[in-house]
Amino acid sequence: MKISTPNCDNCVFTEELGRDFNIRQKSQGLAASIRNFIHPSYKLVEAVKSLSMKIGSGEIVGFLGPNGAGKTTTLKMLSGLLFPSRGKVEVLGYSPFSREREFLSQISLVMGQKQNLWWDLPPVETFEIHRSIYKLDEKDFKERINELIDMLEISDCLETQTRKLSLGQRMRCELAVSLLHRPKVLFLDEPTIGLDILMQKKIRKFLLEYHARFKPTILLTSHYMDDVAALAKRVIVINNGLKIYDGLLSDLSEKMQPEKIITVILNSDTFPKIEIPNVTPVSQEGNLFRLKAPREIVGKLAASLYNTGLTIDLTIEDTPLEDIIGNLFTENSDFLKFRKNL
Amino acid sequence: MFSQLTIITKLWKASIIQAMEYRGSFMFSIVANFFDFIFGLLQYLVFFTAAKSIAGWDSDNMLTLYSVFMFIYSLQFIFLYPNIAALAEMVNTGGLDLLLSKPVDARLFILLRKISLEELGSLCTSIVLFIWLISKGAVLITAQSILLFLISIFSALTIVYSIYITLTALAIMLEKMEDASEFIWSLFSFCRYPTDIYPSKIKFLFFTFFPIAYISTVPAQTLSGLGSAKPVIYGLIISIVSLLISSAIWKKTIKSYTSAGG
Repeated sequence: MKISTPNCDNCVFTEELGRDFNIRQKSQGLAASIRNFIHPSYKLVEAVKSLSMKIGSGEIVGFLGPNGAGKTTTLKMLSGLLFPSRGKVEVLGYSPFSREREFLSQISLVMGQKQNLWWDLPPVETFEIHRSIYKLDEKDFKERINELIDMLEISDCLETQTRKLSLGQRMRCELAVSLLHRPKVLFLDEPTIGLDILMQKKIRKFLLEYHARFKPTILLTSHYMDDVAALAKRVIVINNGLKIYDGLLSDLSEKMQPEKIITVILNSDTFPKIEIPNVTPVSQEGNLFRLKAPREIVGKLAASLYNTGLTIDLTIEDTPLEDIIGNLFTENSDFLKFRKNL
Repeated sequence: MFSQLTIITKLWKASIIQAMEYRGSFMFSIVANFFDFIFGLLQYLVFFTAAKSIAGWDSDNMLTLYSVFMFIYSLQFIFLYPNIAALAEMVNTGGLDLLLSKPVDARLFILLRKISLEELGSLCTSIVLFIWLISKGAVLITAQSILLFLISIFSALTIVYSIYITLTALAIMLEKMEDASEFIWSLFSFCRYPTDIYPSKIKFLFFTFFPIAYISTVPAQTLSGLGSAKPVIYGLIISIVSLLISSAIWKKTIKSYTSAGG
């Protein structure tokens, strides 16, 4: 049933969405197993506690969090696989768990560790099955599949058994199968997991091209921050089933890490005296020095270093995104302290 | 419904192509199952060297029962069994997640997505045996008996389908249930013989709470002149009730599905 609410402008809408699991507990050893067999004990785990978010049509949003934060559970609720324990959820104006065919025809779920492709058959056979599932006529099917084959560069592996394909080839074929019906909403759960850097880049490039052409709404989870940085302007960060950040990735970077890293190579292994406050040394390897300084004085610091006449090379970088996100989840992070004070 | 059947037909085609990738194993399975049929048949013939009838069933009646049994058994083995055999792995690896995210009838797809032609030999031989029984006049052919036979075959298939839905739901709910196949073997081993051979209390059980009598005994009775319309009607009612109960169990299972990982 399509829901008519004011939230229909939002492609994905959740309000205090939550999902609990009863997880069976067992201590180590045979005696504990026997006790547990007779009197099983369960622990209630709130995989997602309360999650409210709105994602507009055509947005790409990075969905981040450590392992067990509730990312995949949320994606499964949004795609109608899991029934929520509480809260509201709408995707394209539908209640996902009603699992209406009209709704399921407009979404796609890609899971990096699970596959749609038939293991013993070449990908062309799976494409044909998906053509029937999504009721594509011959003309549309040919046009779409040829387009995806070109974009993903998979023409050489279409007729090879899936089990004989490399992980990278398999993932690209997996994307082709999942996008054949041109979904309006695409849930990507770790699409580049296990792939080498070159293949990760290819997948990212493809996703950007695909989004530019067809404008699907994309919700992406990935542990590779390069994926998120390349694809998503906005990120939603969750931890322990709760949202802890929702906003621009660039803002997160600025708010969480107001300092920059300056790497400088000098023609001496002694660092010159510079009268600028708030500059912190990070490391030294011979004549290579790393410093941390607030964003507003970085320019001044760089100029001072060049003026010494000792500088051979100098680079200014943001703190790696992995470190920024990682810092969000540490017990004593500035961000958590800030949240507690609110 | 038609579009769902078109997709399932394509999945079957893919299953056959997949099975043919392992040519030797494919051929061996068909031949091995054909011999299984022949040995089963010989077992019946051995009985009748010592007795003229078993619980009122003569050799022709027993062969009718055997052809009906093998027909139903082969059909379930071809269309349903391969799917339940693969289900536990599908639940544990999360493959079920991807299937549930497709715009298809999930129950139909989980139960019928794969096909195994291993019992094709037995299916064909059961039909040949049945035609031979008709040609030698061992089967009662009247408008009423044919109608009752068709209704009872429909009920038998519906009951088997309902049992599979329930077992599939249990496999999803319990996440690990490799022994579902053992249950199916046991169930069908009871169906090899007429329920008349069992004591009355067990017989009552087979006509009510554990309705295996309707899988082979009742259809065979309609063509052997051993039964009446009453058990056929009961069978139809029980098959519809089974389908409704199994559908309710299925809906509840999908609602409480916890998926694998994440």
